Amino acid sequence: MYKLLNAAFFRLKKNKIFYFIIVIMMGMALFTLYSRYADEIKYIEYNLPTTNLKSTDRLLIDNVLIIGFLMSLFTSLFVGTEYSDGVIRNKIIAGHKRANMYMSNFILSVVVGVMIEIIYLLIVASIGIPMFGSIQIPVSEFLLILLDIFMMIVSYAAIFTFISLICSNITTSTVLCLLLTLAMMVIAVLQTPGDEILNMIPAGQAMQISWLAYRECANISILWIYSLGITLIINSIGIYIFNKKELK
Amino acid sequence: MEYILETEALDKKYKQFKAIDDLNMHIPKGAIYGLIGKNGAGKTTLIRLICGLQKPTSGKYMIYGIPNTDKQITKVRKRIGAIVETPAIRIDATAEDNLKEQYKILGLPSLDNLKDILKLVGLSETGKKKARNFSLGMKQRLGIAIALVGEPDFLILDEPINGLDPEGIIEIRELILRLNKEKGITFLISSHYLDELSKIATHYGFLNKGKIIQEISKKKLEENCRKRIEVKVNNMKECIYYLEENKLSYEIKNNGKINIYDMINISEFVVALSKRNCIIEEFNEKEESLENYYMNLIGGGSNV
Repeated sequence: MYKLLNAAFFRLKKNKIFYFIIVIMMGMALFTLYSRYADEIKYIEYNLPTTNLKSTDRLLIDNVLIIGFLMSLFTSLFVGTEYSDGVIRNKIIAGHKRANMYMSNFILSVVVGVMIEIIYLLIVASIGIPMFGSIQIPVSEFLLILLDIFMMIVSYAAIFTFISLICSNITTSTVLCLLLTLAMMVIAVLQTPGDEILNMIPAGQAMQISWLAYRECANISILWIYSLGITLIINSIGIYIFNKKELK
Repeated sequence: MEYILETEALDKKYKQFKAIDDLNMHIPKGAIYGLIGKNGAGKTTLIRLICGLQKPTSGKYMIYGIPNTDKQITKVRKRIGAIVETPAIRIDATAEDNLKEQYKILGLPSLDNLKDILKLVGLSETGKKKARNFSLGMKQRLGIAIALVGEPDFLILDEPINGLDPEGIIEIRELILRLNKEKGITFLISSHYLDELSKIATHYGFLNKGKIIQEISKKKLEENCRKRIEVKVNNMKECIYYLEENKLSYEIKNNGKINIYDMINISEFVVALSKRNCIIEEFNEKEESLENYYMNLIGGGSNV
């Protein structure tokens, strides 16, 4: 497993999609901060109370809806290239177990997802806190939200790794990943708060986290458990199918 | 004889279609084993099974004596390098980066012989050029270079000269011969370019409809294919006396015919036999190419 991860990270360092999604996430962080700043200018101009503006903790979770799209793009293209370049064959011939190959791709996808999230958090926190004030919600609650976000990233990674490794065609897997992300988002939008399905799909969790600034969300203490469940189930099924898969 | 690869009654079914059917095969150590078969004969399927990309429906294969059902098979596969159908290379990376990734996949701590491998396959001057800009021959050689990382002693090449120009074909041929001679690497090469294969192979396996219909050494094949006169006579004993007396190389075939391999004066031969009351009933001059030999084996057909 270590060898596979070492090879994957070597490849990651030179991967253009990886840098592309980092740039997108950095852009998103800067745009979020600029929007908040522009709002503040307007509020002051019209003598409105700035207390109604987004707090820094809200800014820190403003990106949750976009993470799925970025991860679907990265995972499907990065993992899918294993098939299109044929390097997956080199790994099998080199004596690696299929379960290890599956898990190394999953771990890499998790690491990249966590990495872009941290980049976003660092940019928004380092500029947002000095400019717009500190986090207003209790730290324990904020940490729980962060746990939910990171576990949501893990569950996204499980879903996209599954599709990318079970479907041997890179174009098909990329389209499937993006469409699934979109479909999950549409399903989440169509639900009303409290619907169980919102807990069971990562996009639904993202939606609930994004609502936090406007309404109470009692689910923050359990969302990570749903993510864990999604991850365990999908990874188990994925490894089982990948073990049986006839590779070309 | 020590075999690198053996198969026993190997089967591979895709639904109702038998791609590999009761296949038995033996690749001796140090051989360049030419796997010959027309398109769809099962060459690539067989290679996929050996490489562990797919599992046999029944039967077994052994690599270095370890059966595919043994857990040790994944470890043994580390001694194999392979190109299945197309070279497995990162087209957006340089030749050196492709090799570096393979070093990491294999967990090799040092990149010491990386330059040597690139030099061996003639890619040491490619610098920062991405593999996507390589010619087909260069991509094929890069695929071989990747397969060589980890110093395997068994290389499997699936149609290595497909789509190559004459220069590329020569490059690959010379590389295979050099690796076999200098490093003692055993090769399994599948191809339907029989003439090209005949320039390098030391052993042949003829594959048809998923079965190995014959395994034969180059020496034996050359004997079978060499120029000869095939005669059928009414008095075999006298004919053999004549051949022995004149120290001519011959072989008695199962079908009652005699193959004479030395050059003879036909008029003298006919007269001499006639004097011994031996009448020639059939007389044919024969010389077979590998292609004809294969066609005769599979009983005609096309697309070879």
